[in-house]
Amino acid sequence: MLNIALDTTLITTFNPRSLLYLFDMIGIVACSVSGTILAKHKNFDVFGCLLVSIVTAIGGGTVRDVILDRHPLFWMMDMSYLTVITIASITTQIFFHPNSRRVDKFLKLTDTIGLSAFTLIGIKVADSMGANVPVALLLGVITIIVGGIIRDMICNEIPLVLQQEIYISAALAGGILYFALYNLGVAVWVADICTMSAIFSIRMLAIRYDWQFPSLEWRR
Amino acid sequence: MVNDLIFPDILLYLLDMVGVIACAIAGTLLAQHKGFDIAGCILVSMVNAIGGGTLRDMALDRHPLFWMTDLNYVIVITATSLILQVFFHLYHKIDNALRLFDAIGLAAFSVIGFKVALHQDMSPLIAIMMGVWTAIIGGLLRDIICNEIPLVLQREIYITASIAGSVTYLLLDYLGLNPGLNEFIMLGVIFAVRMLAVKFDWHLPSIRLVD
Repeated sequence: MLNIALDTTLITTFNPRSLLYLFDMIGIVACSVSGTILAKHKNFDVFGCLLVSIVTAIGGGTVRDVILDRHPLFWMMDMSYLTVITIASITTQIFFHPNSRRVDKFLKLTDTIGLSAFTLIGIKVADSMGANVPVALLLGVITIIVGGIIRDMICNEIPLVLQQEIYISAALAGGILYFALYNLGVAVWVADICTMSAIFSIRMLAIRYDWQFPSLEWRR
Repeated sequence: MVNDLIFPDILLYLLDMVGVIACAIAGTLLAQHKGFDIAGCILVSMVNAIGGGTLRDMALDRHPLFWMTDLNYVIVITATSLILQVFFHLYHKIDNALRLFDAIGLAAFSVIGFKVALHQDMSPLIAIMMGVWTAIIGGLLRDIICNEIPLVLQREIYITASIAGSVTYLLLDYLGLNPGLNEFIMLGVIFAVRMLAVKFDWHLPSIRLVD
């Protein structure tokens, strides 16, 4: 079966030199910066901010791996995750300014790159563990949103990712595209790049033109 | 068996129970303030007392969970919570005692989490983090359930105390100290840092550059 063939190549590592790994790290940086900023607004101390940023950045992947029973967890094997998060969080804390909006654009861009990378990784990991397509899509979504949800729960806010509608939808669209291309027999790296650019562009366009889903409510 | 003489596991277990009781008390108090019912209060105190250890064990893939094999935890928490609910009106008198118990719990939980992670052959950084997790996640979940901003992330010297203890352990271990004695020192360091921070109202400085 295809899944078994994938097992050895995908399950343990993403090649540190690969593009996906780089995008993953960019997403991690975005998550930890956003986590630190929210935590600073709530007046958490140094380690409190660090904890919130760690949870934001790797919470989604951890929940996915615990659901899939995929141990040891990725950030326990590869110390670069915790290192990158710590550096990003400390730097953000040093240069933090409560009224500054300067990081907003940076965050939007990096967060979208992270969104596309996290989704793809989540889907690939679930697929390599033998999950079927809907479950793999669900786990892709879990990978991207759980970190943000836990961050907002800790900071006592209503989760932002559940309000921005095109966030999850972009991930779902990308995931469906990935499986479609995969079943058509397209090379894996082409499918990867198509998926990531699809998610990236849908999300960016949604931000740019303020797309919203119409409400499903039935009106006369 | 020098280890056992200096620092028998039974002492750690007892301290663990003291910490569980402190967490159960803290959880019940907050739940009572929010007007939860009997079962709600018990649930919050359970989450507060064993939530951190549970998440640690899930992250480290360590099954079955400790409170499923050792029913003492659940029994102690339930009893504590029920007793406290009966005598809720006396709560203002136990505030100081609670802080003491809480510090003991912080120290014991940190040591246990740290040791467990090291036993699972994790790197020291992960072990430090697991000590912190075990100590604080329970309080974090309690505050999330009760819709408060988590106290443990603001109260300044809390995570710091746990990290200080772990770093001390690693340093002394590097110098070749006996592990049993070392655990005892780690416990003492965490407890002392936490109590001194409460007593003298210590805070970490903010590391912001611009004002």
